[in-house]
Amino acid sequence: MEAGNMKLLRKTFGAYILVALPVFVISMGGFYFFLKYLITQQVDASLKQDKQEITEFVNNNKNDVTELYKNISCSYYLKKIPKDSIVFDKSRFIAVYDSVEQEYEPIRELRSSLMIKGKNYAIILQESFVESDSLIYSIASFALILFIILTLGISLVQVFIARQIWKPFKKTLRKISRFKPGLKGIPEFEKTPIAEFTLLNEALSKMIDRINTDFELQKKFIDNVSHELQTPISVLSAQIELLIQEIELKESSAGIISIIEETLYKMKRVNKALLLLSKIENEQFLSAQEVDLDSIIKHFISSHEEQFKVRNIHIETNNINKLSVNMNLTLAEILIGNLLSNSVRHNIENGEIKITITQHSLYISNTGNELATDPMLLFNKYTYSGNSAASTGLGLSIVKEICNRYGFTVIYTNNKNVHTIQIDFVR
Amino acid sequence: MKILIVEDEKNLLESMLKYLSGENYICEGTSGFQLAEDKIYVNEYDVFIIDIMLPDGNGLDLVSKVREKNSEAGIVIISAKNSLDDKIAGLNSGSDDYITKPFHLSELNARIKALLRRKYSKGSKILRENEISLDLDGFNASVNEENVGLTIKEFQLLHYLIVNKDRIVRKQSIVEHLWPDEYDFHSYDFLYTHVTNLRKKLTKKGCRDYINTVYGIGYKFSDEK
Repeated sequence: MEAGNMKLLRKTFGAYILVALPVFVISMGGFYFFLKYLITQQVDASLKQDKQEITEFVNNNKNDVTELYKNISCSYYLKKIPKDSIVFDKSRFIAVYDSVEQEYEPIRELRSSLMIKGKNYAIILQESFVESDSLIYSIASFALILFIILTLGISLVQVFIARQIWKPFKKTLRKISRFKPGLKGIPEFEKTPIAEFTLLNEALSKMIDRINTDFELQKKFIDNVSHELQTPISVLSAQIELLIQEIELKESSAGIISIIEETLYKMKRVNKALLLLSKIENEQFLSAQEVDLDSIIKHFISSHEEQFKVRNIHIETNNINKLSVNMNLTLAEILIGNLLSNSVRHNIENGEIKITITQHSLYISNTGNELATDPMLLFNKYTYSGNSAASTGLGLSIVKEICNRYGFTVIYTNNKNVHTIQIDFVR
Repeated sequence: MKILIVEDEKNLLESMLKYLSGENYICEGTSGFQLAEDKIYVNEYDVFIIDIMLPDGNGLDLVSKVREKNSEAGIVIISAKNSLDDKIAGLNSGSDDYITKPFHLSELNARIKALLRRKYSKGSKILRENEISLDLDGFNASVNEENVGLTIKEFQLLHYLIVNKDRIVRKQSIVEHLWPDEYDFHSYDFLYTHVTNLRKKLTKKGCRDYINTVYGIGYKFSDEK
């Protein structure tokens, strides 16, 4: 559950990064150029002011160039140019090699022309841009740090808020994951201030109601049908019994009746199994006690000796330890009876059944033919398994249902032609 | 012996009446609670067979009414529910035996006979059938007073066939009678072995072979050939 939640967080956070990162990169670029533009403006303004100062000095004093150098000490130099050429104010960046730092440094310069004592000069004013550049860099890196802090902060807040916000969702999830149809106690969802979760809870409540109603209906249906079938089956059975008595049976008609009998018998069995399943589901086996499974097994084997003997099936019961389980006695007998009769029914002539009981588990393995169906399907309710005439295919469903009821685990394994059913009684 | 059967399913009632009439009982049947109530007050019966689920009432109430009037009568209740609660309720209400639908008529017949023996032939625990005698308490069978040495299952088998004498008893009925837990074993071969063993043991002691095999269907104990 935790992992799932984090996934959602990661997703929203990912979306945030996806938007925030390009916006940040673009705006950082824009910010850089804007800042550079501003500083350049400022440098240009200061260069112009210097030029203004020089011009005024020249105009007021009419001094020659030497005098100018003596009095005005900002970074500039003069160059003689032809009389008729005029240089308009023009600013540009140049790179000057700094031999101390051993690298090119950006310099902003302003070119203009100036008349000193009738001579035409080009005046070039320069200002280093190194400091301005580093200012831009520090501002930019500060913004980056800000961005990282902001991102971390946002994600922290997000995690925190998510924890809070998703709390009711988690509660709901925990409740529905524990929900089983037919089990008592319909999950009650807590009220939440968040509209979406309220809607979710409402929808879930409705769904659970529907599932429970359907489940009840299904249970009732099976229960009703199997009860309703009892009487017609009884009538049929009784009529055939009378019919058998009445007529002189020819071998051919005996064959027909025997088929009818077999089919009827199967019908009876299926119906009985369905009744039993619905009874287990309806929790009609409430009483529980400490049941010794080992003695139930021993009793079953001794009272069904004939059924084992007739197909020469050998039972190995070397490792039967004492195993006491708290459950309903009738259900325990049904469980063992179904498992063992199953292991006889699906066995082969001269086959073998091996029963082992460990501290918490029961293993029953039997020789048999290879399985044609998916073994897991065998445990499903109403899955018809195999084509054996007397098999209802419900034996293992009953086993599963009983185990479900008590929280036992049923495991089926097969190794070539040896089929093993393992039941773990640890809850 | 006079028997009243209360069963709302007419066809089932008819077949019970038919089967039991063959045993020289005087059988009457009725399909409703009210009719049954009237009959209980007016007539005397030795055995009552009562279905619990009646359209116009609960069969258990009939059982109490029978008990009020005649504490000696034998009562067998029939239930469509094979549940322990019903069984306990039925036996508590005063019935003597309990049988669940669907049942074999041969099984019902055996139950009634056992009931009659318990109620009306006090003291006698021996069932005689020609040269065979069955000691019902000791599970001992003798032929001409000589112990045959049957296993309990063989004894039960012989007993079941004898109480349903001259009737074909189906294989399923025998299996369900001998192994009431009714697990599905897929094969009746073991029954065949059982019958063969029983037959051998009996004839060895000089008993006539009364057990006839009805191919594919079951067995019949009969002294006519």
